Amino acid sequence: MTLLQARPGTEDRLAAAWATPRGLAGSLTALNHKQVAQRFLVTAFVFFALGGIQSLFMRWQLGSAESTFLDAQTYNELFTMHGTTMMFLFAVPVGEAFAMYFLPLMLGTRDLPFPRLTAFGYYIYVFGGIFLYASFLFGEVPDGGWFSYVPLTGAEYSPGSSIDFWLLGVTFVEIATIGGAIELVVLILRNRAPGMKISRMPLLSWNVLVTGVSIIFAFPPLVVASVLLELDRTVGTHFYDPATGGDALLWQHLFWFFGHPEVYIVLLPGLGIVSTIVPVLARTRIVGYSLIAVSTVAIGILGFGVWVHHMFTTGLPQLGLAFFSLASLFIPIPSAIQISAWIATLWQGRVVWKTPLLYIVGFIVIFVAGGVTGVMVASVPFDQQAHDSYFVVAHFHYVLIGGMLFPVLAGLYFWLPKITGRMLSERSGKVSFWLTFVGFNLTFFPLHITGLQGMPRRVYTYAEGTGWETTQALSTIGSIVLTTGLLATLGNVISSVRYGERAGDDPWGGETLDWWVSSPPPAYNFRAVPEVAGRSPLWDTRPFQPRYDPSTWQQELLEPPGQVRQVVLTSLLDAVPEEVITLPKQSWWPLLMALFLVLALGGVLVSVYPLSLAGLLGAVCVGIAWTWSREDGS
Amino acid sequence: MRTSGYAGDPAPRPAPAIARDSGWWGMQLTLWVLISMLAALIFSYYYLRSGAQAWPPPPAEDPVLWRTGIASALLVLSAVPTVVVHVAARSGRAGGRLPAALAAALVLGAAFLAIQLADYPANDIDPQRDVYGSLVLALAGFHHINAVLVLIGFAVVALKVRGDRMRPREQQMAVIVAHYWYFVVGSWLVIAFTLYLTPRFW
Repeated sequence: MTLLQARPGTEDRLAAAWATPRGLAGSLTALNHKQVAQRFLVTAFVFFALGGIQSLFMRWQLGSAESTFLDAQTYNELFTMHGTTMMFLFAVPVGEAFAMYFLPLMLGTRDLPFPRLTAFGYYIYVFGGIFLYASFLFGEVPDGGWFSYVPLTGAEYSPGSSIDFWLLGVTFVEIATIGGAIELVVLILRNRAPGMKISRMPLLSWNVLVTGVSIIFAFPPLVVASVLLELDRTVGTHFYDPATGGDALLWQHLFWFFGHPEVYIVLLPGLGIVSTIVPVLARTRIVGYSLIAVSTVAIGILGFGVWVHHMFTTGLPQLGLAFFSLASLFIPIPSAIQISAWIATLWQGRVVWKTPLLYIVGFIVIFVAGGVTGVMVASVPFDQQAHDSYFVVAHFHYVLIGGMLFPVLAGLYFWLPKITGRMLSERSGKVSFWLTFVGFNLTFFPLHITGLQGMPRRVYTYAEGTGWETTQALSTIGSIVLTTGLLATLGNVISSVRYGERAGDDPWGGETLDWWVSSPPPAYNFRAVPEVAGRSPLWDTRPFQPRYDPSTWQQELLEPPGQVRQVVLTSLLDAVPEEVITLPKQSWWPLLMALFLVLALGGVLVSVYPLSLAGLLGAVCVGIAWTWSREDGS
Repeated sequence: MRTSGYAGDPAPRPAPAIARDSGWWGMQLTLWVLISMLAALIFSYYYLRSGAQAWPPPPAEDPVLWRTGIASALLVLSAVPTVVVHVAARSGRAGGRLPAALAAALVLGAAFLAIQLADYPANDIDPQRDVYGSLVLALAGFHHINAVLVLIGFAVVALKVRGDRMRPREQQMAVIVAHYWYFVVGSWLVIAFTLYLTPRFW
């Protein structure tokens, strides 16, 4: 890694170019990736808390037989909102938020490639979430499940506007997710530091790259499915209406064509976080970099060939089921390669047992257990027995909480010091880990047994004497322990911001460039953009001759011509510096665009179509202004 | 400013006339999003078609071809001025044929939309009556919304380019608009084949 030193006196100009103006207007128009990603992170965790509270209500209801704590309708609303919140408003956005904050730092660049799209994505995501939760105010809470199956969600059986809230809110969040995916893919392809060949980039960027490409192919079919259902409900079309030539199963095909890649979209950033933390806390380079990268790509590809395993009980032809069962049985292979690589890395290294690593090891245990039940439900005859039972609920919570929440918590303990500049408490962190780990297993392991004993999922209560009382009560106790563990982490985060030990630039002895800048990082991330010569820039000690003449691009980055925000674009595979470009500094257009789209879809919700038209026209005008203006201060 | 520096490289690579910058990549990925949407719509069409006895479901009849034939020919023809815009944008030379090409693309695109919008009522398409009509609404609606957006894009480029040199950002915008229009032309061929021709032989 080499860099040019800045000449004294040039820092201020760089800082001024990258500073966010003060005040409300300044923060509403802010575009810097760290600022927006922090908002993303906080908002995602707020939604996580809301989804968690909903699950506690449900657990309390199920803790005893024939409980009257919740009625059937409320229970349906809660499990719909719980699933929707966790999948659309927490799991996907939090992965993108981590990537938006840390990938530019790890890749050695100053910002994301489309700063205005970053801000727009955030606003549209928040508005989508508010839209969904506004349904509580109107007493029209979505109650069709997070999968929103027709015909239940069609106009005939859900005549109110509850499903419209779901469809429109989720569509907003999908737009935000797709925008974020495009942004991250372009970031990884074009904004890596000079010399960071594609074979040298951190493994997290491989995971985010595959996630981004999966989002680009998997989310649009759900947008289409949602629009078709909304047309059925408002315009009176017949896509899902068997009486007039439509087909209810079409929804399931489109939904699960999105829904299964979605699982990997949730999972892969988590696996990337694991691949980042394991070598640092094992004090050694990762074993099998190329194998991990290739198996990440393989998971992404295989993820598109397995959607029908959610539909094994819908009466499809046997041949199709056999194909999808086989494809589902292939998925554990690349996952197992990665797990073997992490274990080998830990084995080879000198392990430092800090909290992030505890969460990683917890992840490995839980994720493997979830993987094993995954192999079981991939088999058609077993799935046809277990499909509508609590066994499946146990399986997917093992995979999603194990595969995604535990790595995200590990990432939180690992990276929060970089964001706030303060360490989290180790003691409190370890307590939180054990509470979370034990609580999680106490909640979800008994559900396997409840399921095998025949308890169907998606029911609000059960009769006495079914034999499910004990395991359900255990699960409820477990959920309280789990919540305590998560609250311990929350308390740790809050107290660390104020009282935490100073983190310094590099508290973990990190491998990647994010640990090279100060904590918290300056707005411009890197004053001098480093030239990278290996996979572990901060661990590479070999003397290195710069390959690229820094006098052209580096000089320009160090001493910009005026108060402009500049980044260097590099070539796709070899990261040869190609071009220095300027980025927008601040903009109202993202917020205005999001507001006009809210107006457009809100008009659909209340069936006032002139409002929708006004919103669309406004959005087009803002779009023109957006492309017309550079807003880069030049 | 464009740079391409290889210290000690005997022959530094010349920077391309217009780099495939972030915007270009962003547009390519956006096109893949749209292609994915189109694939979902086409899948829906054939999935629902394969479950139907008669297609289009009676009383609807096979759509008349000559109007959409003319419209499709105009749309394919509009690819020619789009190529002119594309080539001009790559070289950065405005003036010359560029304004005429932009105007031609706009006129041909608008004529296509006008004919098609007249075609649906003339073919007695009714999205609320049967699922064929619903599919026409979805597929054609998807296409025409994109077409309108690109026509606005052509107009923005026409208004933005002044003088006989395009600035790099204008070049990039024009290339992006041209790529988007190629998608509009190509996706229409798939959609027209699906909506207008398949009912005649399947």
